[in-house]
Parts: sequence; structure tokens; C-alpha cells
Amino acid sequence: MARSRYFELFDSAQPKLAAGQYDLVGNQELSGEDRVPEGATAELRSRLTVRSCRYRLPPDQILSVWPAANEEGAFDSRLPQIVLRRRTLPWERQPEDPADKDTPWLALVVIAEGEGSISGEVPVAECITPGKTLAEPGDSPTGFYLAVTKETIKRVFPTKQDLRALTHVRKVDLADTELALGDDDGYLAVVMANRLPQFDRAGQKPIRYLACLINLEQQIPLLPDPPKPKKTFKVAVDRSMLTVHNRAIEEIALKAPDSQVADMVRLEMAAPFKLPPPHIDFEPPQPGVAGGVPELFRFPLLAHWSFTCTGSGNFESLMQNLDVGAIGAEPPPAATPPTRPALELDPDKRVGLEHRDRGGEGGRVWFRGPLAPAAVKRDNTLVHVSEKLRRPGPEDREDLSYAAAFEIGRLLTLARPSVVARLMRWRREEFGAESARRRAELAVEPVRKAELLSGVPEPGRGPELVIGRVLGKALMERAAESPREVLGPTRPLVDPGRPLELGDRPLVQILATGLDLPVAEVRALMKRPGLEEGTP
Amino acid sequence: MSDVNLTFAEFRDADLKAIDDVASRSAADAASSEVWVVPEELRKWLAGLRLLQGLPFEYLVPDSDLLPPESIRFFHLDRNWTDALEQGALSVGTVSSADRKQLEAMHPAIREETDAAERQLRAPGGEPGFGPAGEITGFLLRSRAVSAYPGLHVRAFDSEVGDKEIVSEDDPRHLQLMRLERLAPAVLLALFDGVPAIVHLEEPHAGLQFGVRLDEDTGNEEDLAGWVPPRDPATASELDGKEVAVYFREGAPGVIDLQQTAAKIEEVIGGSGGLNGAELALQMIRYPYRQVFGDA
Repeated sequence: MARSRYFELFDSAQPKLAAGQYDLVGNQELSGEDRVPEGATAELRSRLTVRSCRYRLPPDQILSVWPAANEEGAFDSRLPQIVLRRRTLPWERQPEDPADKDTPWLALVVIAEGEGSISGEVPVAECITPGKTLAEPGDSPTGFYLAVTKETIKRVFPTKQDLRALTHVRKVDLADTELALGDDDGYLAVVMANRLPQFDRAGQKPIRYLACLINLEQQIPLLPDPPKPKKTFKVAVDRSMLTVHNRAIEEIALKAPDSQVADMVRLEMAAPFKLPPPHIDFEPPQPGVAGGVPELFRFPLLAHWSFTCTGSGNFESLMQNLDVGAIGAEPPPAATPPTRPALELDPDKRVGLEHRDRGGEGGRVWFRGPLAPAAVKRDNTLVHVSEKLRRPGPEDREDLSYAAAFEIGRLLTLARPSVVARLMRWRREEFGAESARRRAELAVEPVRKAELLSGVPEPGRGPELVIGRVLGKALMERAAESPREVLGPTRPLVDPGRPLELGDRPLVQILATGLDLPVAEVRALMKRPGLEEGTP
Repeated sequence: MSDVNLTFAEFRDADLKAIDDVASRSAADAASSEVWVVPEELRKWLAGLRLLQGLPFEYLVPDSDLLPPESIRFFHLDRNWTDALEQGALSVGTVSSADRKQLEAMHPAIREETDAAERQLRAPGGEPGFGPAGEITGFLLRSRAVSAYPGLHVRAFDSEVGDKEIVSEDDPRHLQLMRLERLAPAVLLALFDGVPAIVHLEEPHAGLQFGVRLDEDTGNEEDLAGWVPPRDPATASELDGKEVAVYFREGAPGVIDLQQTAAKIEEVIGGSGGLNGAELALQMIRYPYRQVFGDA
């Protein structure tokens, strides 16, 4: 296993037997002192097939691709790559000469949108340029192919010599999940592309690329010759490379020879249809003919994905060219003359802004957001209205920074009905007063208990804090042991009756006073039968 | 109490047991379900406000000249500003002057809890925040790098860290990231819990990558050139100060002429017979770039 944090690179990993059909012949030779009869051993003839993928790559063989499928980003200084699980995969077939075991049969080509097209699912026999055949049966009855023009091949495809340089085997530590990618043995095959995907810098447009892992068997001679080397490349997109199926119809109409315009436009329009549109019969123009449809070459497509190059400039140059500063730093001088007055900043980096107050009065004020160039001391005062946060600023102008903060905080909260509802409920709970009391109790509870048991205050708490509790406890204990001594004699359960002192006033007057009624009324009531005046 | 014949000793033991129960229950209370003055929903809302969540961008950057294209601006968070923001939010809950008095009485507790909630906001499992709120700092980055490299790594350290050092995630020098968010496709806001000495911005990691360094300075605006720093095949380390030009093919943007490039590399590192796959890969490896910001 590779050491942790290390990886090793190998040129190739060649299988003992390349994919294909083999005759297995077995012979035995008997020897001994006795004569061996003629025909005692028979020859064993058997057929052996070593399988490998040819038209389709099983999904489990792809460990990772870069850039990830459908990803967008600035990839312009990195080579797209595909990481394969089986280390021998790129060398399991010989694309041209069976004796040449070093040249891989797989290539990763990266084409911009329009430089080639991908077929629908077709029988494998159609997956290769017409006129070529791949002898033994493939791994799948149907497959896909990449169709490109000779021009695209010449400009984009790797040369035969490049193939070897673009493929290698990597040995990684299986414990390193970023590099091992879930592999089983720690050996991965990597196929790189030979093209840096570019961003359309002139048009400032993203370019969509298609990365295609193709099979080069039998078609190595199509690959371009070593080109004339150049130290730079043009960033502009060359539209002449676009194939007919992606060329705008107008462009065809303008460029094609008069005699073929009608046919070519019809062909272009028919291209997206699987079946030719009914009632339209036409002979396609001869391929390869000048002015006609360029000849398309087909390569079996094992895997493909697309990504979009949405930016230029790599991370390093972007980072190094950043304008670095604290907030409020002077902006770098603009390339074009400014179209508006320069930024007004005070020494504390507040910005001068136009302001109109509630009364409609205009004027300039100072404002600084929550981002300050230096630490600000926190003052911790609570205010209830934003007016209290208006501060005088330099040049006799108000500083509305904090007042604006207050207002936006209020408005953001008002925009959230659920928060407003919770705030109103919290208001009824007196802003958590009950919870605060409960929390204060919880905080001292363990301390209290310890003090109660020992009668000694916990460290950090003065005796005056516990003296009451301790005295109270002692008093309770004493009172419970001998209540008579501590609390005095017990009160009898029932007190004897107490004689009423009526004096010598007449009963009617006593009643009238007690009931707070006029004497005459009481006297009238007492005249009822059974009640006699004057008798107590 | 039904048992009137309880002796004093028995009574006292029962009493002590009761106290014991209360104490252990309250300890459990405090440990499991903490008692909060500010309800959770409000705590989250207020802490979010303090970390400037949902704040209109013009309040952060009132003038575009404060954050020009391709710039990074470091800042300290003005606590008084975020306190004012929070108090604006709290003012929604006060109707009468009695409410205001009550809120004033509770304010120290409220502030303490929102201070703690700030740190909790980004904790994945809602781990309790701790300690009073400290200084918060951060940066605003406006760059094509933000849109082109989603998921770039931002790390802050409170003390010196080697420029190429590989620092583990649980290193104590790490400052907690309180917020890391794209406010616009090309604007990134980061807030740190503390004042960093060093900030790293690192290209997103995606396994091992291969590529070249592009050079826009070719004398022609439409042209690009490239180079690689050659590596010693024996040690795999870069040969200091050397650059090898990368050759391209004519006609298709970005297609590398590998044979020519390999030959030129070979001239520098020595050897003959062309580079094989492993040798070329070694020369082309590009590690994620790390930009270091610190006191210069």
C-alpha cells in the first residue's frame, strides 16, 4: 500500500493477455522406459475469450471525472481527466498493432459545443466510421458514437504519440478518501485530455464542453500528425470547426453553393428527427464533396459528460490580483473616467449619503454599515426608539448609522409574522421574567443544599448570605424538639363562652344599632306575632 | 401530613431527602433542558440578525466603491450597530412604557443569551454556545473567483501558520467561522469568531489535478501562453525558479502540443526518449492554490 499522504505514478499497467479470442492448445508428453503407444494422449483444443469493454464503460469503472458532470467554473488552466477503477483498462486492447502494447486504446477528447455530435443509441456496427469493422463481438449489442469532422480531429484529437503520455496509473493510499475515491486495490488508471477548456474571453460567454472517452481501435491512422508547435494559442472560438449539424441554418444558406442550398438546408432541418419527415424525399449530397456535407468520422463512445467553462483566469492569478484592504479603503483608480461624484468618506470611514427625513427635508448625512475598519467598543445601552441613536457627525451633519440599523432591524422583524407573534407572546410572559427567576433559583439550588446540610457557606459566599437559612433551620429544630420552651404554651382548642354585655338599653335599640336600621323599623318588625316589645 | 406520629428525627431525614431530590432534579434540569429567558425561536432570529442575515446588501456596502470588482475588504463587526439592529427587532415587542421598563430589566439576560446564541447558530448539532460574545471580524470578497470556484475553502487562524502547512480541522489555532455565504454570485461574506492573524483562501480540492499555468501577458490580447514549473523526477519537488513553456496546437483554443512540451521539459530535467504517462503527469500535477492573507 502506498504511504499515507503519498501517491505513486506508473507509466502503464499491462495485462498478461489483451482482450480478444485465443486458441488454447494443450499437449501431454508421456515418457518412460516402456514404449508409449501411439495416440495415448490427445491434443486439447479450446477457445478462450478475454473480455473487456469496447463500446460501453460499466458505470462502476468510473471513479471520478474532472470537471464534474454539469459543473460550471473556470477550468481554463486544468486538463479534464477521468479516473478508472481497473488499472489495466486502457491497455487491454491494442488499437493498431498487436505488438505495440504501450499505446492505450482509450482517449479522452474534449470538444466544444458544436465541434462534434453524439449519436443516439445504435447497433454497434454503426458506431465506427463506415468502412471499418471491429472483428470480434463487442460487450454490448448497441452503443453510442461521437461524430466529428476531419478538421476537428486534426485540431483537437491527440496524436498517436500523445496517447501514451496522456494515460498513467496511480497508486494511492486507500485510507485517503480524497485520492482513493472508493477504489478496491489502490491502483487507478487515469486518462487525461490534451485540451485546456477555455472561456470565450472576447465574447465574454461561457462555453459548454463535452468530454468524451472514445475507443480508437482501428482508427489510429485518423489521428493527426504532430502539429507545428506554437507557444501561444488564440482564445477566440474558431467557428469554422463546427459541424454541419450544429451550424446555423442561415450560415449554411449563405455559404453553400447555389446548386446545393436547398438540399443542405433540408438536411440540416431533418437532422434532429430520428425518422425522415414524411413526404420529403431527398438524396443527401455526397459526403466529402467540396461544398457538400463534410465527411464525419465515428468513434465508439464509452463515456461522456459535459461541463461549462464560465470564467477565465485561474484561482492563483485572481487571488494575486485582488485589491486588498480594510473596509473603507480607497478603491483602485478606475480605468474609465468616473461617471459620478467620488465617494465621500469621513476619517471613521462613514459614507456621505443623500438623505430625506420624514418631514421631507433633504440634506447629506453620514452612514456606516456594520462593517468597521477597526474594533468598536461596545456600549451596551438599550434604546427603544431610533431617534435616540441619531448622533452628531463631522461637518455638522447627522450620523444615522445606528438609527438606520435600529430601523432596519425593526422592519426586518415586522416582515416576519411568526417572529412578531412570538415577540407578542414573549411580551405577555414579561420578556422571560419567570424563566429568569427560575434560572436564578436553579443556579443557587445546589449551593443552598450544601450549605443547609453543613451549616457552612460554600466558598465564595459570605456567611451573611447563609446566616438566615442556618439560624432558621436551627430554630426549626429546636422548636420541633421542645415547642413549649421555644414557642410558649399551646393555645387551648376551645375558648369558654363570653357573657354579652348589654347594659341597660332596651333590646330594640341594641338591635337597631347593631343592624344599623332605624329604631322605628326594628320596632315595627318586632310587633309581629310571637315577639313582644319590652321583653328581653 | 397523614403520619402525625412522625418523630423529629424521621421528619428531618424526610426533609433532607426532599431537599436532595429538589437539588438533583434541578441539576438535571439545568443539564438537559436549559431554562432560557429568550425563547428559542427569538434567540435564533436575534442571533441571525447579529450575523447580518437577511440584511439588505446596501446596508453592508452603502457605496459600490467600498467594494470594487476584484477586491477583498476586511472588517471588524461594529457591535453597537448589530446591537441597534437587535434593539430595533426587540422594539417590535414593546407596546407600552411598562413593556419598555420590563424589557430594560430583562435586557442584560437577553443580551447574554443572544451573545451565546451567535456561536450556536452555525454549530451543526446545536451545541451550546459558550462564553460572552467576543470580537467578530470578517471579510467581503468580490471576485470572479467566487463564482468560478464554488466551495472555496476559507480558514482563519489566530496565530502564525506556515504558508504550506497542512493544518487539521481540529487544530486549536483555527478560528470558528460564524458565517460563510455567497451574498451574490460573485460576492462572498465570511465572519470569524475572533481576530485572525492569518486567513487562508484555498482553491476547492477535487482530487489530483493536472494542468499548466496560463500567462495572459503575451503581447497580444487575443493570445494566451502557458508554462509549467518543472519537477525533479527523483524527488518530485519543483526545480526552483525554472519555467518551461507549454506548446499549443494551432486552430483549436487550449489544445496542448504534448510532444513538443514534453521535449522541452526533458531538456530541463534531463533524460531522453520522451516522457511516458507517469513522467508527464508528474510535471503537470497542480495542487490546489492557497492564498495567504496576513500582516505584511
